[in-house]
Amino acid sequence: MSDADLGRVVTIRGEAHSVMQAIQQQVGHYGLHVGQIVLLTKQMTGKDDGAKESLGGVQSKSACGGSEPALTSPGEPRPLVLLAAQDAPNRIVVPCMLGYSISGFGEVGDELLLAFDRLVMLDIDAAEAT
Amino acid sequence: MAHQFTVSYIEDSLAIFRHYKALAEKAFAQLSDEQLQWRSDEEANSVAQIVKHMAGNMRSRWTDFLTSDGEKPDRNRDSEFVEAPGTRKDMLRVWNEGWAILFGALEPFVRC
Repeated sequence: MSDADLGRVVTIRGEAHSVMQAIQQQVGHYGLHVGQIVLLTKQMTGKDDGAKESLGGVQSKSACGGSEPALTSPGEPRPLVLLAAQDAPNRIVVPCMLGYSISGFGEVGDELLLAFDRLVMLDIDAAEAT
Repeated sequence: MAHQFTVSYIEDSLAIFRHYKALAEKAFAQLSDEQLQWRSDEEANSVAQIVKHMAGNMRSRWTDFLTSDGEKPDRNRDSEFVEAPGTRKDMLRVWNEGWAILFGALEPFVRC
């Protein structure tokens, strides 16, 4: 491999790409599919306990207490009780949903039925807007 | 300068690829053999199907990367979503073969 190779044009389905474009395309492509694998795994195992086998996520640990119970079957909707956030009494947090916390405004104790294949953020946004 | 930038870019990309590979392998380890084949519905793909698709893409894109088209004439992309590897062993074999081709194509760039 020489310097000249770095500037070469490669074709994909007859279309010209730089070496860097070809790489960039697959960084995105494989990231998408690994994300699907991680999501499927979390759906099936319900695992999100910050243990060493954790697949990562961005939730704040303080909002999460312990681990979430596994779904009885993957993708099945389940109710989650909304918790009050400590920093604002009427702000609510849905803990540990697929590794993310979602917050909005509502009454503590409200129940939301969350389906894992739906964007529940829409409900939360609506609550926040009122 | 330009050369160094490109090499760094490829090094960084390799680091991302290695991270993705390790992350997916952590996921595989958490799943039972049945769960590797599980599909949420008829239209959805199982983990094993996603793996086969990724490996098929890798073989096609990175074999003779500089000198042949990235979409190889013998690639049957649609079949990647139909016949998933039936066992964990087969799945891991195609997975590792795909990544080996990718790393074999890109690692020489950062050694020059």
